[in-house]
Amino acid sequence: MKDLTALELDALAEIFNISVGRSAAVLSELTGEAVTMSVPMVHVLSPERVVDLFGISHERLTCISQHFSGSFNGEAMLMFPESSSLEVVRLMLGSQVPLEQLSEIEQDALSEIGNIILNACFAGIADMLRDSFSCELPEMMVGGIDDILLQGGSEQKVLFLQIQLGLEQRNLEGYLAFLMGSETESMLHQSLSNFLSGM
Amino acid sequence: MLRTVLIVDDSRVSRMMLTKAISELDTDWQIIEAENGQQAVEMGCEFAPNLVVMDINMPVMDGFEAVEQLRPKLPDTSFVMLTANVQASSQQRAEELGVHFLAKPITAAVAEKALAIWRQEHEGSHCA
Repeated sequence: MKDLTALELDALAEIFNISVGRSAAVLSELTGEAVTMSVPMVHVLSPERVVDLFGISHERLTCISQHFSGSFNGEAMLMFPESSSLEVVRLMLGSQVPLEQLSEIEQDALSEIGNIILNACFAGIADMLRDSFSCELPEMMVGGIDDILLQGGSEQKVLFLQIQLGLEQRNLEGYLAFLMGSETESMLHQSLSNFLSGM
Repeated sequence: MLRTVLIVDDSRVSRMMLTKAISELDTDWQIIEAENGQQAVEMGCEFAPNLVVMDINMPVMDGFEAVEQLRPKLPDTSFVMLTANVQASSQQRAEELGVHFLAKPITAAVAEKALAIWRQEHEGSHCA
């Protein structure tokens, strides 16, 4: 994962920027709140360096992840602070579910939130690359950023895209990350080359 | 007259939200639930629902395969795919199968659209 040109990295960031825009729209629809998006950051580095750079390593996170395959393969992750999990679920369900029942269905609700948001993003990427992606079922885990990102035990460098999604009124931020290993590098090159040549 | 809708989704929360939305819109619907495509095929054959609202990405059997199995057995049933998988390829597959496509998240408006699809296919044809 070392031969992506500056133009390809820029194209990748823009593809994800536009696609995550769909995720933000869906999150806004789910929660009824205005959602802010950060500028996407693209890094090619080891998972350990990602952990160092992430800057929230002391906070426990709830992570919903989905492995995907298509134009390129990898793992997409939606993460937010564990302490905010119940608030996110409450925002999604509103007054539809009594408070005492909320924690019982929290995990299922979070998985579904991740599923909806990540799939909205994949739809955007697929549209832009004129391809389709297969997504596995969402998986959920709670832990430190190092637990989450290093779970695969891979030492190879990864392409790491990070975008922050925020609910302005609630001081609540989430992170979208996409991990892609070097085994998918040639596929990614081809996709970006096709995308750039079609511009 | 009581009608039956089969809600198929591996997410319990999604089933809860859609159940509540439909119940609030129209009390004439009896609601039954399945957790995956395989269960939907079994329940579809047993209950012959008027409307099936089906997720796509589910364990055991996905929604498309379940629809392929159920459609020939339930020619009078309306099928609606309700999914987060909003890629063009999924919408095209739904079109090829001749079923309707709605995107999550589940809201009252989405539930209303699902019921409207059934009305169009059934009550509408009686009026014409």
